[in-house]
Amino acid sequence: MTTPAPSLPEQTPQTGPRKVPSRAMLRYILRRLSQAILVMLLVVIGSFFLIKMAPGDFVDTLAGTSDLTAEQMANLRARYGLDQPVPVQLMYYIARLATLDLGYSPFNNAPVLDILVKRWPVTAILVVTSVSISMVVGTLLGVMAARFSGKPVDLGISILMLLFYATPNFIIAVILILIFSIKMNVFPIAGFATIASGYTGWEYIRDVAWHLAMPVTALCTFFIAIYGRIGRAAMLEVLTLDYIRTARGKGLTERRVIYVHALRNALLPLVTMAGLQVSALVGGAVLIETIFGLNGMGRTAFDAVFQRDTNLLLGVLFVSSLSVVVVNFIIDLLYMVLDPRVEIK
Amino acid sequence: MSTSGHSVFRRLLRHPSGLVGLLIIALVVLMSASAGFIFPEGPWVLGGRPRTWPGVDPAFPLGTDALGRDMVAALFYGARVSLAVGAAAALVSLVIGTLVGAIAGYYGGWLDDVLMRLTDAMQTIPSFLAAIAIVGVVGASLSTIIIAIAVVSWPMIARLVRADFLRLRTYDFVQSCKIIGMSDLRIIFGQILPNCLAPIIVSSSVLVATAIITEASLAFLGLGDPNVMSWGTILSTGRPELRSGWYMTAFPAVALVLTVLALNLIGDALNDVLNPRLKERKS
Amino acid sequence: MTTNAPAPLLEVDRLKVSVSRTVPIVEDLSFAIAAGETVGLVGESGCGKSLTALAIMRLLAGNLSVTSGSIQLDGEELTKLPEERIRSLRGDKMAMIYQEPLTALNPVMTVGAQLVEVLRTHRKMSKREAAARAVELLALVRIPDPAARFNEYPHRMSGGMRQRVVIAMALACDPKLLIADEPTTALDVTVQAQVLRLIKQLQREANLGLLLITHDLGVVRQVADRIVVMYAGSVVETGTVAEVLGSPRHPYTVGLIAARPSGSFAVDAQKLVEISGSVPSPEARPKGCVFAPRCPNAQDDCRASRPHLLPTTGSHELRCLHPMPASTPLSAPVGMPS
Repeated sequence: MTTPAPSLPEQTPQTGPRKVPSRAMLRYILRRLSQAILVMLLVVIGSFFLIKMAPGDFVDTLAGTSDLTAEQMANLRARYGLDQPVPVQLMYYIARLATLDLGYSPFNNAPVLDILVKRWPVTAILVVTSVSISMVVGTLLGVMAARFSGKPVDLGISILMLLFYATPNFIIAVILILIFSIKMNVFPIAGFATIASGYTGWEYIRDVAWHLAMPVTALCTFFIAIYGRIGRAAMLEVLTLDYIRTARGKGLTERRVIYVHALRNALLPLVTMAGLQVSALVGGAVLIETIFGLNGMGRTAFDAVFQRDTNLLLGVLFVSSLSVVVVNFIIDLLYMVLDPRVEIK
Repeated sequence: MSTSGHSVFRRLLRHPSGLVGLLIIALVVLMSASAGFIFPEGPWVLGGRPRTWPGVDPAFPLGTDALGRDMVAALFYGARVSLAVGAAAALVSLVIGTLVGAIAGYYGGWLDDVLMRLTDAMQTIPSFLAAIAIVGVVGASLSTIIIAIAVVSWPMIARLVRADFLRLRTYDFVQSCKIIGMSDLRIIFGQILPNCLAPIIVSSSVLVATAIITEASLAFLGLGDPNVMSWGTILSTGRPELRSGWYMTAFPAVALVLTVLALNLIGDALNDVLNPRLKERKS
Repeated sequence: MTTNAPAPLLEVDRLKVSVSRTVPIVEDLSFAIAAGETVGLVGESGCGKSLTALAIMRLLAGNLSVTSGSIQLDGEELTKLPEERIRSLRGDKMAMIYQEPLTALNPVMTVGAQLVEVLRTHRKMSKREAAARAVELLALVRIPDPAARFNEYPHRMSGGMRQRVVIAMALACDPKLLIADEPTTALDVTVQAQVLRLIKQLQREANLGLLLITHDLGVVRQVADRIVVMYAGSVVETGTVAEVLGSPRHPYTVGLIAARPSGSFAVDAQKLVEISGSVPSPEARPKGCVFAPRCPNAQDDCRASRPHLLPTTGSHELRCLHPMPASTPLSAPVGMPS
């Protein structure tokens, strides 16, 4: 009889959907959680030492914007623990961030967390749309290239991928602006939505889509190239496998063989990559948001650099990393749905 | 199969995309090497009429920027920065990545566990954002930029090297080295490392390309070293002029894209040349 | 024994399969299968058995193609059919069972979905009807608790169970021709006999033409009516099982039988040392008889030109200029299955 995966209970014939043992599930969640904590700890410790390396501390920055006496500065340092030894300060810092206290932004005159909560959705929409589009378009191009491997279609797609792969997103952004905003005047040059338009419902969504068309495209091309290249390779690999021959031997149409049998399997390596892509896209969003005047977290990071607002800058890093960690967890769950062979161990 | 440097280079020249890539990179190297001779006064001189279009003034074949600086000089000096930052950052991350990967793969066990968890975590953090944070907080200078790029790009190499070390450490030649009492250090660097150079070499061209893009992106944001003229700097100063003088953006963009393209082509070619097995599977 | 049978179900005539259209791998291959008949195709690995099967199904991949000869199924010339028509035959009129049950099923689709799919491709069935029929098929191949197994993914089944699923898939649309390519090789010894018996029983019940590809002479002796012995891409000897195994004439067949591990009829590559030398690669086949370099009986005329496949007695045919005498005494008793 079957030898089930070690952690699974013997399958009883009558059961419908298989049940995941709760202890294994708990262990899995704990492991993922510890990984997530490690990432965040790394971010926090890195941030702490960056602050230490920066010329002048937080009180110095404050002193630059308002007049403080030496005594006041000493008091402030004592209050924020800046007179403590470095390891103690680090502990304070970790404890502070663990409670999501990201500090205060003197320039914006507001807590960093409040600012970022407001800016977060713009980046989230940008990144999620871009990941989805680049995955779909890239994979389809990869599938087409694999299906017509060695033919002109394949060559054309491969050249396009090579160009997309070599062109940084900010150059794509500038090219798009030049062509579609300056020369042809079809897409708005900047902004998230038409200001004071009073649009609601579908009209508002259309307006936003219109504004985001160029930023999303600029952010996508590189990842389309990545998905296209890997998708092509994965597809070529899968198409040589036995079960594809079985599917053809059943008399299925080539369409069904490619899009049902091969694609679902070729998608698996692509999904595992999505986590890394999200991380890279969040980074790319800094450039794109800055260029297109979108008030998201990336733009906030850019502004923070020039306002010498270290709390805000490191806050963006913290919140972005946290978001990526959460997205990675969701992608893992998605992978389990896509690949029945993956069991929780 | 011999994979001595000389024969690899010769086979690279016979590979179509390898040849194209090498030619472009040779041109960029030539540009950066000759920048000092052809433009001894540097890229910052305000020599011409601002916003001269290419082909109008023979003294400035590619025109001038908004301040009247020569585009050709800027491009030549920019090549220097791109190559230097690309090569230096790639080198530093190669060193870090190789060390981490070699130690993790060779010793295995808890050390491997810890180092790989660290690598995982590093790969999860949005790297460009981390680079901005480093440069933004510490201050923009060439060395900071190089370190920032290296710090965020070593994990890829570490994974690659670790995988090869895990595989190779079980081989007989490694076991016999241990038996004759060779030190771990000598086995790692003298015996195993030379056997996993191929994937490292292939990915280093991609590493250089990524570093060049990251430097240009930072400079485009205004986070480049203010004392050097990089292609990103030219792009950054050209952006407000997009409406009237898009050539200011076009030239550095083309230079950047061609360089990155060339490095990717070389990487693909190296992959074909160094991995004959993969090549067979492709055809 | 059918001597004056109507047109056979499958007729392969002087088939040639080549790499890059130039180097022939299968050459001058001819045989026929009648409805209800089981033909065993035997030979060492690499002799072109599986390629023959794939050629019949028109599933040759990459740079392999049929360069000449004909394959007729029920009078239809398969090599010339448009792709659309051949697809409607695959899985319907002709079906195949593969060697590797572990990789033959799509890992991300349930067993049921893969069965339903073939039914709905060839028969006008609702999803519900197809599902009901699929469960019946699972029961037919003796999968315990078929209704529950319907929703199972392949990785949660053993090799033997998966091979049963592949068999159910092949039989789903009541094919006339079933090709089984080493259907039991990858299975545990204990399961091999069960699966083989199942195939044979289903073949008898449905009066299928069965092409059984194997390297195991014991399997052939158990289930086949006729046997086709292949060497280096062509048929060297063919006839009824009794004729060929009872009185083998071609030196290669004799070698095969002698080389089998004691107690079984499996052709084990390692035991084949008794036939000295190795199978020539397709590029390096000699001008004369392909077996000549390894043949104990080879003479100058063997190396001069390739012999033809000629009838001897009964339905026994032979491609050999200097065959073994008709009554070769064999080291082990070979004969009719008991």
